[in-house]
Amino acid sequence: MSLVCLSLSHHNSPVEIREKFSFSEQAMREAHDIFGQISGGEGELVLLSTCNRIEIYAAGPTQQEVGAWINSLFDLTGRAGNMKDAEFLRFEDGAAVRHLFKVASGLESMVVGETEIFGQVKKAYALANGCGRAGKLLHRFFQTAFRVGKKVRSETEITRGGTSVGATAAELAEHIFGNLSRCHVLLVGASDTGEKTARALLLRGVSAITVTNRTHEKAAALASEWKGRTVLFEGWFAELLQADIVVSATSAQETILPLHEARPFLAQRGPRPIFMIDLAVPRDLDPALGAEPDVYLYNMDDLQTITEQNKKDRRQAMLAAEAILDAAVKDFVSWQANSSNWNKEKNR
Amino acid sequence: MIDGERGWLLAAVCLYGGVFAASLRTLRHHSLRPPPEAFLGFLSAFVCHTVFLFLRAAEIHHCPMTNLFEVAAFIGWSVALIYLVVGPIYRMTLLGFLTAPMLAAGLAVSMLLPIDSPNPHQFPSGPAFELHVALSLLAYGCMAVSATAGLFYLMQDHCLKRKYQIAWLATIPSLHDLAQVNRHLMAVSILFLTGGLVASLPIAEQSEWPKLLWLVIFWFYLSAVTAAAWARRISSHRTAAHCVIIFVAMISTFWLINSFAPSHSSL
Repeated sequence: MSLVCLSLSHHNSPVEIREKFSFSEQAMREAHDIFGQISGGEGELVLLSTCNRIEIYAAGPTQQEVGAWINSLFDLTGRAGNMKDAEFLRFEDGAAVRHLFKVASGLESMVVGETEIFGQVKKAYALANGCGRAGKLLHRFFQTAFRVGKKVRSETEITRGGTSVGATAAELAEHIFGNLSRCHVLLVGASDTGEKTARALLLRGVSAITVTNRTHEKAAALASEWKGRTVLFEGWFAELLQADIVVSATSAQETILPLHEARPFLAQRGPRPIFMIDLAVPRDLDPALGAEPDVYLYNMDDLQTITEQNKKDRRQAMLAAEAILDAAVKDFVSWQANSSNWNKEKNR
Repeated sequence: MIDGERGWLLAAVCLYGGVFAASLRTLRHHSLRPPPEAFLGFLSAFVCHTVFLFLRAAEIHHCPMTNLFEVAAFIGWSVALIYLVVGPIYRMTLLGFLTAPMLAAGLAVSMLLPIDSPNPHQFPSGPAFELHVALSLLAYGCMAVSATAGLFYLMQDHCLKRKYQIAWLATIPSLHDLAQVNRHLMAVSILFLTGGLVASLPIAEQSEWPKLLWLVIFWFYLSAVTAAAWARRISSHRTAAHCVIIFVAMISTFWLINSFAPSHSSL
């Protein structure tokens, strides 16, 4: 049996092209049925369609036959007309194996090491399995890919450290508070950076959020989206009593929270940690706050430095991941060769 | 030639060492989460360790704390017990990771040193005495772990405040979790220490007053810090610092104060 993979991803094509080839769940089911008919039930197929990649993994007796089946599939699903614009990368056998292992491990993702793709590959395989199109080869191929993906994530630092300012801030918050579901976030200013950071914190489990902004309507819009509450900008200092995490990102030209104004509120809070994230330039929060007990103050530069270091670490981790992939690809290719030889012997 | 009960302790040392080796394998991959077999290994080591203490007690017809070797084995046993009881937060991270090698090394050294000789002194016996010794040693074990958690808290806090990026610190629990471990262990330490203190009252001789005074001072210090920590009157940072101070002060004055207490100096 031969393996073929066609890949259209954020690496080689813009979204305008990718969207022409994407498959809905229903379309994927139909495509699997069509492929079964084209190949006379002999071909195996798994379709992966996410916002960043459209990939076709197919197996059949020879490369030529599989290639012809895929062309017919494009034709019959109304996508052949778009082929002139698309630059599908084609991988065969060992190269296809390496490619799927990289995808499942998150090495091919836009944010290296992200974990969402693992679930998406699993879902694609489950759908193909449900349609009866994942045979012996693709079954083994995908199960191995899941094992390799897990191994890469657990044995390298590929997933460690945020790769955006928001993710880095959320990770630091977890170092301080552990589980963020108990934390109360106060967002000061409705700027894009502040919003992204608040979203990253919400994604990590924060359930209570308060928003304040000079233009109250903007704050209200964000608060209603996040099921949070708003306070008037004039009285936001009082919120320091409740907040565990303060994200400040206003466009003010001077410090909006001087040390002497914050001190009475910090004293009233008692010995509870507070994480202050100052994303504004010029800075919103008095830098002297960082020296106060139980205050952890990070500004934009601090977060960017950590984020850059995390990215560097992930690139280093890719080398370790490649070593795991090399061994796994070698094992799989040798299993595939043995299995083909055994089948040939059996048919002789 | 190793006799029966020391053989059990040797088995425990090997198993603790094995757990450490298995955990090292995961550390090589930058993870402090021990493999599943490590927990089973630790549990088996704990069973061997317990069998040793049981057999030794049967042999000497006394709680096995009559010489330094037995005391080391008992403190090690209480640390292992805490490891098993405190749970996953502790076990999966650096604190737990360090327990197995600490036990393996500590017990191996105590087996190699010539400190396991029958003690010629006549030890007081009876349930009150043995309860006093057992509870006091359990309290020291809890305080040792609490001090380690406190030390990790201070390191983590320092790095977060100063914005230092130290990779292995990312694998230890959050400040919140460390503070929680600290508070719980301090409370348990007080329970054990109080029990040990109360059990010693009927058997304490007049000449024991320096030791008793020493213990009461530490009891008050520990109680005050624990109460303040539970009532959130002091910060977790200060609580952690006090945990370290209490343990270091206690250990560094332990042998000195024992030399003034006739029933303890024979150790």
